[in-house]
Amino acid sequence: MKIVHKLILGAVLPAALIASIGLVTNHLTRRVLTSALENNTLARSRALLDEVDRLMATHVAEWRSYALSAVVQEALASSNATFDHMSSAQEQIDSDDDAWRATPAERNTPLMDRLFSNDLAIDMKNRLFRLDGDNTFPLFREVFVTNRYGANIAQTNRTSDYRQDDEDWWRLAKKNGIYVGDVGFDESAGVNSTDICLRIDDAGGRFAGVLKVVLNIAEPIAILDARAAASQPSNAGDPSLRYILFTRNLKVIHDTANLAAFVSDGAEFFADAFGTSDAASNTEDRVFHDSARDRVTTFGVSHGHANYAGLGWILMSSYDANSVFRPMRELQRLFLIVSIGAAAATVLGGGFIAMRLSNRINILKNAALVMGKQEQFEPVNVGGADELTQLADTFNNMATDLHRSHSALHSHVEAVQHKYDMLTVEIGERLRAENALENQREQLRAILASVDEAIVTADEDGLIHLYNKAAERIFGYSLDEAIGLHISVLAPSLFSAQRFERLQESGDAEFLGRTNESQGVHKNGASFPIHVAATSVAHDDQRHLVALMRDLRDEKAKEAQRTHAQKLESIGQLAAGIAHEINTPIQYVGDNTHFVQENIVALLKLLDQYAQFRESTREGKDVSAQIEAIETATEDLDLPFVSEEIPKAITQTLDGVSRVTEIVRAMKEFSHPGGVEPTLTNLNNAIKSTITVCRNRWKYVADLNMDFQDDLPMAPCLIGEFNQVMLNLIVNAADAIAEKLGEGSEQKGEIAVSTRQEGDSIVIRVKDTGGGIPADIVNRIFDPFFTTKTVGRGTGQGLAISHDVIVNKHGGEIECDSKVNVGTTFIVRLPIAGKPAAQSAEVSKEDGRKAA
Amino acid sequence: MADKLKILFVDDEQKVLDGLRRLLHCKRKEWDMVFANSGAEALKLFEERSFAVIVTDMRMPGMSGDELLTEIRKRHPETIRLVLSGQADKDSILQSVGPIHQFMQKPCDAATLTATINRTIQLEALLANEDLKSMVTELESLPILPKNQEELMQKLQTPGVSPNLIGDAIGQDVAMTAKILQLVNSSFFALQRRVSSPGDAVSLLGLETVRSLVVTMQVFSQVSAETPSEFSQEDLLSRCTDVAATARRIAAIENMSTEAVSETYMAGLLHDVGKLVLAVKRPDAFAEAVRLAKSESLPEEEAERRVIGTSHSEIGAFLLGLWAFENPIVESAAYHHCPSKSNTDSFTTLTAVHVAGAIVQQSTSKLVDLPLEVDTEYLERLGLIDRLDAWRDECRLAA
Repeated sequence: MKIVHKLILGAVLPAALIASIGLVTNHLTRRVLTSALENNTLARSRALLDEVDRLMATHVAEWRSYALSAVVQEALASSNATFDHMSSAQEQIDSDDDAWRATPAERNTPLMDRLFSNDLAIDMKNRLFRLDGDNTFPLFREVFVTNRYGANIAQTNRTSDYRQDDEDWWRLAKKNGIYVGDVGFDESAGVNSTDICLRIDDAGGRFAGVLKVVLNIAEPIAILDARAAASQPSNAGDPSLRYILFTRNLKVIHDTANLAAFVSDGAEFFADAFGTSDAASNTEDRVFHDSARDRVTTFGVSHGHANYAGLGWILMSSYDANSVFRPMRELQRLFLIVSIGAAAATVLGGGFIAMRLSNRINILKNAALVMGKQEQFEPVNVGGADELTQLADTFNNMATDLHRSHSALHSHVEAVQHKYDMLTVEIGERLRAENALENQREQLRAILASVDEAIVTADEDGLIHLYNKAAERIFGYSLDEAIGLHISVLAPSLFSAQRFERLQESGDAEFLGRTNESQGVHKNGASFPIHVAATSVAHDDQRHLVALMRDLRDEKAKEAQRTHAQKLESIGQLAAGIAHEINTPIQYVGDNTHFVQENIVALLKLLDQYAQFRESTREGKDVSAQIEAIETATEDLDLPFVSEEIPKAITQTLDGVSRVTEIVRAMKEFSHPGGVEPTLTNLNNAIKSTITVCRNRWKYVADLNMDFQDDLPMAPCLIGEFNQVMLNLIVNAADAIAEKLGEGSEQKGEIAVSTRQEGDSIVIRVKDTGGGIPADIVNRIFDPFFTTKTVGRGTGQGLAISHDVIVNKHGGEIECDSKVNVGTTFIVRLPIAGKPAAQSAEVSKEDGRKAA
Repeated sequence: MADKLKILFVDDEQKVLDGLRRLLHCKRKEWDMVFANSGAEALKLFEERSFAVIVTDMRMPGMSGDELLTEIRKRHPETIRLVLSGQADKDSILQSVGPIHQFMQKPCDAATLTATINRTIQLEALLANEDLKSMVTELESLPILPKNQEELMQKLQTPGVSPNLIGDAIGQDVAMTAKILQLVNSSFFALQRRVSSPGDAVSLLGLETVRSLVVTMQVFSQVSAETPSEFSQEDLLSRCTDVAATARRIAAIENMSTEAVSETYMAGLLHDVGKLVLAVKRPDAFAEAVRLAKSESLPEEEAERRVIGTSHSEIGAFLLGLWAFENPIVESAAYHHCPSKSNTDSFTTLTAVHVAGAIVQQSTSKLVDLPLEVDTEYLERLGLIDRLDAWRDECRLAA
């Protein structure tokens, strides 16, 4: 780490520390404040609840003491005594209860009137009036007392029924001493109320009756509203406080923010805060901080007061935390700005000092770096006046000394280096020369190994001394086996012993300086066609034979395939035409036969009718019906037509059959595969068959004239291949005519095919009246793949193969005589004696091709 | 007799003409037959008189058969154009198939020849008016939905695509389906077996041939005529494929043979092909018929009859018959609205197409509770009225 970085780090670290302390302090403050606020709020809710509880407890205590007052006790004692003495108190109560409930609300029974107006009732009414005092609303709505039998003995308002001991409140009050009912809303009175029911015992501690007072709960609500209102405006921008008072069943009693929410279900507030609204679980005070809405909500639960168990009500206080934390946030921001400012100041100050120090040290460092390289040494100046300045002076002295001794050493080294360089150059040149030689050898070896042809050299005695990879592959001998063998082993007929003798005597042999086709012999004894080019080379006063030999098997196979493909192609093209040629006669053969069959049947039937008629006439029967039948039949038959047409139909049928027969025979002859050896053939017949087979190819464009010499001698011929040649020539002639005429022409051209014997040859001429072949391409027509036809019409192989068949396989000639716009004649000459024997054994290729 | 059917036979081989003359001599009371030796002679004969049917050879010196038929289509569109040829080479047949209605292969036996010609006479009865007839006979192809054609082109250019995929692409379009089945069934392939799905047709022709038919020869080329705005080709197409699928389902429920089920699908697909013809050939009248049907709530057939004089049913049947479609398919086109006019008494392809049409109509209608508009009289006659609910439920399930 550079010094400057260290110094800067020294400034940055404290700055970061300051900033982080600021942040942590901030966070802690916020937490403490929040917690204090929450506790405070909760305490406030509790206090408020306590106040409500206390109020309720006071009311209970007041009524309890009233229950012990003389007026109540006496009235109860008297009533209980009366009922005690009744023989059937329950039945009396039941009958009174029925009468009570049956009475409409606007009317009173005498019993009711009594209960409204007795001493106790009047006392209770007065008491209610007194208790209301200065309040703007009545504190209690009604009060009534029952005796121990559950029958009303005094009331301030009419109760719904007379018998009360069947009510839950009555029984619970009797059992527990007190019962506080749930909060309810009395719509007729428009107030919220709850029932307080007290058990009354007599002086002897016996159960004497129950007092029920309906408490208006406007009072605790008024307290809440007052508190809420008090906290709100006291400090503008203070937490907007909201109180909600719930019963223990989570019903909303009062919501300071929503007055209409009374008695609505408050479960959602609890569900929000605690994820559950189970009433039983809300028995403890709780705090809930809703950070999403930034509200703090506390739930206080009433726990009663003194020996009063309390209502179990729950008070929810909720306020907006945001407004509470605003001052704290401002403090936080200030804190941050100050700490960032302090950090920045530290970084800037520290950084400046660090850069300055670093610059001066760099001057020294750079001077030390260039010291050894420069001719002259320049003393350095770092400025200032501290320890660094002294260091620079010391450095200057040392450098001056060092520079002096360095110069002396340098001139010595230069002299040595020069000598060394001279030596290196000399060695390099020698190495390069050797490499080049080796590379050339490598290349030569690679070429020899990679060529497809066998390369073999032999000395004057014919002993092999060079033999490449291809030779190994072609002849089967490995390099080691071949070295020292006589070259005649590889091609005995070409490199025969006599020829080598002649070579040694005269320095020349038949096989030198030309290409030869011969038979090669494999190590395993198999022989195969090879192509050999041999030359002799003089080297080191010795004559060497160099032979390049190529295996011809693949080429021969390919050629065979090519011929076969061409044959298939022509057969394919012919097949559709032949089908057409056959379908046409079959059509009229079928039609005519059908006609003959139907009419012969009808004729026979007519004959039969005549026979019957004759019979009937002979027997003298009435024949008028038969005559009529015969007349109808004759008319249906159209006898003149039939008798004229049936013979014609049969003639044409036979005609058609013979046409089909001829085509089938010609097909058979044409497709005859022939042998590999030429056989004596009647060329006239062969040509006729070919013409028949391809009739469909020419008949729409041309008339074909045959001019055959009757006594044409037979000639040796490879019939399959010869037919192919004739097919090519005739189809070409037809195509040439079609091209000249153009499509849809009414005219036809002419094809003339003739055979003649001329000297030792048979000459076949195929002449057309097509467009002729332009002079500039007439020389190329026998080249493989040369075609002027559109793609798909021909492979361009036809004439090349024809040439091969006539010239190479039959020892004949093929030539072409063409005039543009007049027509073309192809002339084929076949030797009657067949191919010369010498030629067939060992062919030295010369171009047998002639073009006129 | 003045009402003899006038038929012209053309062949360059006199012996073929002689044979035909003899073979058909027994028909002389119904047919008025004339024989010509070349295309030129045939055209000369046409100058003097008209023929209802022409039967010609294909390969002839001078004018070939397809050249002759192209000329006749131009000059006498109402003549039905048949070919009797000895050609056996698929490509040259398909190349000349354009102006040909039906192709017969030499050698053709007497029964096939007379049946083919007789069938065209029966078709004649469908359309009384020469004008209406020539509207159909001069037709070479039907309007193809451009997007269907594009999709087919794209698929054809996909290397290694399967014939079935190409068949599916063609099968989406009524016009393409009709054309390729005509090509296959009206040519010499028909001798081997009837083909009733585009997929089979493609397999039979081979992808290369289909490619050259579509790309080079453009047998699916777009008809340039505008169709009226009242008519949505796309809606027709989606309805036809729905009907086809539903009819196939019904045929399957009724245990028809696999071939018949597939034929039923074709019958469903092609049953409204007459509408395509009308949309191209009589766009104004057809548009008026559509408007009339809507404004007076008439059945579409009735409206077409009032405006045009015939309906898409007869026209479709005529076209399909002319294009050598099988009788069940032709019958479904002819009677899909009123099957009781047919004289069958058992469940047929027509039954399936008729019911399928009603089911599709009901299920695609925006009106709720539209009654199923089937010919109840017809179904009762067939004793199949009870099956209706089963068919409907099954088809609903499938939908």
